[in-house]
Amino acid sequence: MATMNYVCPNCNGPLKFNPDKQMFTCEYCFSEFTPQQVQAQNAGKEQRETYDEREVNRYEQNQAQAQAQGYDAGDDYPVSYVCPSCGAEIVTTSTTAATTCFYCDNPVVLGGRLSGQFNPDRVIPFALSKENAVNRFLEMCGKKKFLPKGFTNKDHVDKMRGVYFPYWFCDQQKSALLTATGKIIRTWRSGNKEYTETKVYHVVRGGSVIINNVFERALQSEKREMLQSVHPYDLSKATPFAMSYLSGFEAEKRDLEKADVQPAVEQRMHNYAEQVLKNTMEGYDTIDTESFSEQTELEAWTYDLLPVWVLTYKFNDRILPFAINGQTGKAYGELPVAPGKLAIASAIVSVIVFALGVLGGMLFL
Amino acid sequence: MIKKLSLRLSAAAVALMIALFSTALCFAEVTQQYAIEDDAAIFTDDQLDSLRDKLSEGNERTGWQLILHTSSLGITSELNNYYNKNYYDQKSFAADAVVLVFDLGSNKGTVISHGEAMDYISDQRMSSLGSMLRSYMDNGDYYGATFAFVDTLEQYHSDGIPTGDTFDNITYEQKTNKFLYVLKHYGIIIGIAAIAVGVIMFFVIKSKYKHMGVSGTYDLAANSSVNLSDVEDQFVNQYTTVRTIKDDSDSGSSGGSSGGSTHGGGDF
Repeated sequence: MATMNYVCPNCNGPLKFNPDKQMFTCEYCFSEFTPQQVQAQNAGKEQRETYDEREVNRYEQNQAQAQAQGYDAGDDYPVSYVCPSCGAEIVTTSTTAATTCFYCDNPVVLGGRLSGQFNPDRVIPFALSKENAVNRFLEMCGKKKFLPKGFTNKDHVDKMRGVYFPYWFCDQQKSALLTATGKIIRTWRSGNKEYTETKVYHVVRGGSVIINNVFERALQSEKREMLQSVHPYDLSKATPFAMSYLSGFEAEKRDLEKADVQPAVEQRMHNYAEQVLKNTMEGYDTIDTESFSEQTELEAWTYDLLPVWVLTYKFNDRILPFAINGQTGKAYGELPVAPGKLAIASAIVSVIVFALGVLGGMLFL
Repeated sequence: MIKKLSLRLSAAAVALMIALFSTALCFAEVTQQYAIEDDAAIFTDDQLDSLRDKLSEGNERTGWQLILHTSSLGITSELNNYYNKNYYDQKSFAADAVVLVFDLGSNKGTVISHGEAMDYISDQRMSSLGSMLRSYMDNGDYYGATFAFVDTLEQYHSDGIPTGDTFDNITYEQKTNKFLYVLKHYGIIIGIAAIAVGVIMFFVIKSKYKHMGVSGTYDLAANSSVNLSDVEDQFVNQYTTVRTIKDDSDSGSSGGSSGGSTHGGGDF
């Protein structure tokens, strides 16, 4: 009910998106399908399930009202659905848009979460397979000698999951004018005198500034820094959103609206526009802004899903995330330090430094 | 005839060289047992003869080369370091040696000890020796001072190494045990530095495990373009400032440094 999964037309096995091949593959008969084929096969089903999702929307609205009235303090309240493959009840958070059935391990897409006003404009499909993401994580951990014991064991690393996170992207065209004081400084020496010649200029730059792809995460429940730091993505690889890309991964629905992130994005756009004009003031040693004004002429927002491999772990009662860009492999995160190991190593270094210091002192006597 | 003349000239040249060499010996006489360089010319020939005998006797009893040097340079401070660097280190004296310097220009003197002699002349003995020599100098009795100097050294040698005394303010045990010396004098500083290195390493490594990959999330250059319609670069004014550069040689090198080879001793 209000859920859907993508099945192989040959054997009815679950279809999952394969990042290495950029194709959908059946885990049972190994058939492969292009995204276009899968979308064509499931178009009617997606539309139908989306229609049924109105019930869910209504249910969620009721939940939201209940929270507002103080019945439920949690922002991310649990919602249950039924797995279309095995009939088991799936409990997810209210922002989950795609997940895996905990019983039959089949991918489940909660279609309604990403339909209507929540329908993303674009998606960047996973280009980094889980195997490659795990290897990248292990490669990074391999260089770290002070990780807790067992941190990189298979059981732990296998918990890495591919998640599509929602982002707002903004493009703007601005008419901007920057006036500044530019200085060209020349220094030379003559005898024991140092001369500094400063030439002062009034510098003006004005024109049309285009800034693209300024982004802000559209999910407040996850750590902002993590969601911002896995960037950049190559948006030229983004494709129009299709629900089927989510099959085999998890996905989050936005809970931050454009209005929520717009002030921060506008401010960054403002700063970027000034910086772009400043960058055209070449040949000066220093530039001090006198005034800057800008007006937005054109603006376009998109709501996109971007792929991230996420591994969370608990350490010293803290839950820390480690994220890897699902397209480029750029990693972000905080690795735990085994304080005992590091303290012993530091103590050994201290002892060595002390011994070398004493030996050095003896040599100089 | 010419042959005879050249023979006579050669003989005269040799005689002249011998004469010159002998004159030089009057001012500087150096042997492995002792050395006398009376640059201030305060001793008579008879006194020099007696002093040679005395220094030679001192050498036989102590095994140290004993050196007497008089000068008129007028060095007023740090005589010990000055004469060690500019006199002892410039000559080919023995490794185990004691130098007695009378600087008549400043009316000061110094004793410089080297090698084994350093172990015998403790701070306390040096102080005592210096006081004694000072009293002779005050009476202008450099000859007597030198005799007393040799006698005292012989006595010190006979008494042996004063292990209970200090040497440059450290005990003999510390002097001979470098490890103990460094540990006692610099152990705390080295320990603090070593702990600081360990602590810095701890936090640097810990910080490297934090928030990797934060930078470089938005590439402005790749995501922006500009079409300029107003471009103006108007010259406003120009000014020049001048600064006097302090000569590097003016700074630093203040205070004395104990240059030269490792030595002991003290001024009086």
